[in-house]
Amino acid sequence: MNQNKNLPPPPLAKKSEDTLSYSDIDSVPINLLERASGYWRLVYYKRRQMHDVSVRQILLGQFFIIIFVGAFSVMVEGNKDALLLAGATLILYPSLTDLLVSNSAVLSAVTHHEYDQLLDKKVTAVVISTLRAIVAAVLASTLVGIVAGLLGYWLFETPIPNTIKLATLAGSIAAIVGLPLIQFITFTARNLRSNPDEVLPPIENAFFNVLILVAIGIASRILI
Amino acid sequence: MSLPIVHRKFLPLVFVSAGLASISLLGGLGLQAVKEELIAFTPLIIALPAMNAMAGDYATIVTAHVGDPETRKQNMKKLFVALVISLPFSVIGVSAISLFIASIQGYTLTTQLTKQFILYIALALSSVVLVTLILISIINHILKKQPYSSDDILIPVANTVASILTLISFAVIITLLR
Repeated sequence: MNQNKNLPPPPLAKKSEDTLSYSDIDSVPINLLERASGYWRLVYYKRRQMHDVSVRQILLGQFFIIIFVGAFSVMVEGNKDALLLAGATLILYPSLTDLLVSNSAVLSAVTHHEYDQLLDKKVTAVVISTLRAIVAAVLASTLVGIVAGLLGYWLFETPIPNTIKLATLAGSIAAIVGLPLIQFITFTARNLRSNPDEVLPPIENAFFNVLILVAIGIASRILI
Repeated sequence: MSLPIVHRKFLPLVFVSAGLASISLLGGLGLQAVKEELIAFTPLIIALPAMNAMAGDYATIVTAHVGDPETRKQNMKKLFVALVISLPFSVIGVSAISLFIASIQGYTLTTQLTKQFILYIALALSSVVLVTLILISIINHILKKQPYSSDDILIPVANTVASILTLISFAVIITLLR
């Protein structure tokens, strides 16, 4: 019986009450106040949940990184000797990683946020944006290679042209392999009704940290 | 509306991403200085990408909560507790996976070396997270009076700082293990 009392009023009554503007709190019907307070309580809890510190989510992200990097570390170990072949391999590692992580973050965010606004040629738009991101990553890798080349020559006497070639080739390998895969994960997350903004950052971070180290090793083997 | 993805400005993206990535070269210089030793010490080369990714993840989490004006005060204690719980998990995880893979690849581990490795990894990761937290709190305090969005500045700063600190700490670990 009590449950029946708490039921919301019929739609017609709700509409007429909601559209009224009240200047005095005492004149607001009790059932409207109850409904509004429940709504705001829900909004408050939802927002708190979104902003709250979640130990579980932190541990989940860290667990993912450990498992992912662990699974692919055999590739890193297999390529580690190649890192000695060329001069500035480890100077390039953090910069190329940051570069690819930020490029893939931009690509996945733009795809996720703007895909629904596209009216036609959706596939073409996604393919072109992926290709543009790959070209951007390759050009930016070359620029990073120039800076790294100058620093490497100054501090470690590593040859500048080798560093530029190494950066461009490693950046190209990582971009060609990694960026289409990130697009695929973005769409998979959307299809699974997950938010790519929340799902992708730890994946991109872990993935490119491993991929760049392997790509530098492969590029060294090709160039030397 | 037609193809908004395609009409993004192209060259600014190239220059901005290359410019920001170049800052991380500082950490790379530290690694390059100890390259031979790092590559010879298998557990550390396996731990390198994992630690770099973990530091980036922690930097993003710390920044998200420190920079959130709505819940900063009430969340700081929770964030500290969460870090105290999760950091040992990360240290144990990354140490275990690195030592395990190194041993199955034929790398000889002594008890002394294993203890030192775990201790240095713990000190490195804790220091990186602590320094990033302090630095981000200071920058956030300064930015409160400025007309900038703190998210736009804090997140790239935190990630770059965490990455550079992690790589420098690797150079220090190698020097200590020599």
